Amino acid sequence: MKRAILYFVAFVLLITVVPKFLVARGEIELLTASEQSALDAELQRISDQYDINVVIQTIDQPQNGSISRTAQALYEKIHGDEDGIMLLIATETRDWDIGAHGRGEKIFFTAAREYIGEQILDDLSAGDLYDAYCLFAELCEDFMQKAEMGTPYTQFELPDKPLPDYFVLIAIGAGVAIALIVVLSLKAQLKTVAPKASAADYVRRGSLKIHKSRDVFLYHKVTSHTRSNNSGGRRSGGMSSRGNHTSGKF
Amino acid sequence: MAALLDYKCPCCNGAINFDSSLQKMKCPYCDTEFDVEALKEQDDVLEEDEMHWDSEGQQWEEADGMRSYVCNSCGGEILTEDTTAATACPYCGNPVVMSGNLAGDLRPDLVIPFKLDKEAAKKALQKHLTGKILLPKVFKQENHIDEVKGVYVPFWLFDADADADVRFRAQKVRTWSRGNTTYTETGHYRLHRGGTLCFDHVPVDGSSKMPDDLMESLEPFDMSEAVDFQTAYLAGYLADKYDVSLEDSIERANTRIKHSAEEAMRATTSGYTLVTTEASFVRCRHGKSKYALYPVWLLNTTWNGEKFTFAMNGQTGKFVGNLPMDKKKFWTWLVGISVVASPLVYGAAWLINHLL
Repeated sequence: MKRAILYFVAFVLLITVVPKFLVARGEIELLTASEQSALDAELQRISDQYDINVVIQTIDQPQNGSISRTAQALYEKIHGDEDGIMLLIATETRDWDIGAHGRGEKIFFTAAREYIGEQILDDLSAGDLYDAYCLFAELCEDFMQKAEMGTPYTQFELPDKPLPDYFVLIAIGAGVAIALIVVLSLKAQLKTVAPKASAADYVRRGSLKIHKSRDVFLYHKVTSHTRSNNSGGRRSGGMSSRGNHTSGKF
Repeated sequence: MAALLDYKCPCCNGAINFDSSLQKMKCPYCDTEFDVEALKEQDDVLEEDEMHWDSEGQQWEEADGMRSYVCNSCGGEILTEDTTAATACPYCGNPVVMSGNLAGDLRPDLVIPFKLDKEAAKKALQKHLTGKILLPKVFKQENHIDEVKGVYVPFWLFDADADADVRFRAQKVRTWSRGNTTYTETGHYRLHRGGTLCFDHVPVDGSSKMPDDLMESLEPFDMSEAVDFQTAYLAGYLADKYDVSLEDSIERANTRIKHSAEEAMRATTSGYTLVTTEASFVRCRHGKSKYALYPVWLLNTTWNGEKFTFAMNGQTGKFVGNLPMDKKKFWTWLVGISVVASPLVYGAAWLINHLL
């Protein structure tokens, strides 16, 4: 029974949590034809529904070394001055950029672009472009839907950040710990025979008299710990925002 | 001097016992009640230093730790261990007291009479088995009580004044933050504590047949209800004389007294994160000892070929006894609670994340 439980727990970890930890910087997998067509259809639907272009472009590398300038130029070339939001991915240099245009700048303000960038970063780092693109579309639709309803997100009120993947492990560990506490206390009910270590029950009341009480300081030791600014070793680089663009590395 | 004492009702000549609910002697045949004091003269025989025994009808022999007596009531042979001080005739049930094992130096100073009867012991066992989730279900159903016996267990009681001198190492931990850096300061101290503590009636089990941990689990006994010893209290119950000497019992009392003295000194330290004992010296003085009989109900039960012993404090009703565990139930509960608790923890974290 004990072995069966261990195997079960190991299996659950293997299929849920471990893969996420193992894939730090994965090989970039470009979209298949069916994925591309599905994604195109979804982006078109969202764009038509909210009258804002939701665009995703994939290139080999940015021109002139700047992903943001490349993204700006590319969007203006394709869509001119139309309202929109575009995600640009450079596969060779592993750069990403999210740029907002026209009405899109109001809906996808700096904090919003940074939030969306954080959410898709894990999938981009793992090289899973399709998942990243789908999540990008989903998040863009969420922002535009809220704006249309008259309750747009603000820099002080962004969508809930999902719990990190490793929290599954923490939840399982906490569940097992709670179970152990409960079950071990039930087991303790069965054992009522134990020798008494002390004779506290037989102390004459009021008989305690202290005639010596001295506290002597010996020495002290000070240690320090500096918190790292880097939020996680898995992600590649930080992000920066300038104007209507937010970019970074993955 | 008669080797066996038994108590007869002056009204109907039936065998009378000590009734725990009345705290008096009672004849089960004619319901006449007697104060224990009324039978005190029977104990005069215990004052004699030398054993006199009438060879007619009351012969006793000693062989391999056993003794044989002849019942005054029915003439049947009563075979007991040489430490037995009170028992009942196996033939007629007549309660008898072996005065030889209670005379002179073997005479107890004090006795705490039984306050709870056999029925209370049986009910306490049922209550002890109730509500134990990991107890095998069949244990309650299949176990049968082999034996319920009320026994006066011999105890050595120790009084002592303990002088304690204890040295502790202690730590005080303080943390603070400045910017991104967290600082932790650990202060190390040496604490000296010295004092006196008085102990009264620290009990040590004087019978090698009684497991020490079982007897200690029944504590405490209320000494305010202890009375001067009289054999009449033993009528209807079993009793043993001590077979663990005073000298052999002192060590156990010393260990418990020393531990308590250290804990009392430790309790006077405060404001520290961690306190550990570095050195301890406890000296006992003004030591006194007494020999007492304490009331204990013993219940034996058998299940799956294994014997289980339970004990109830015959004065306070405290019931103890280890029970078996159903391993299958243990693992089922462990897995079941884990499966329920893990998603709840995750859900709670998600909710907190959402609210924040």
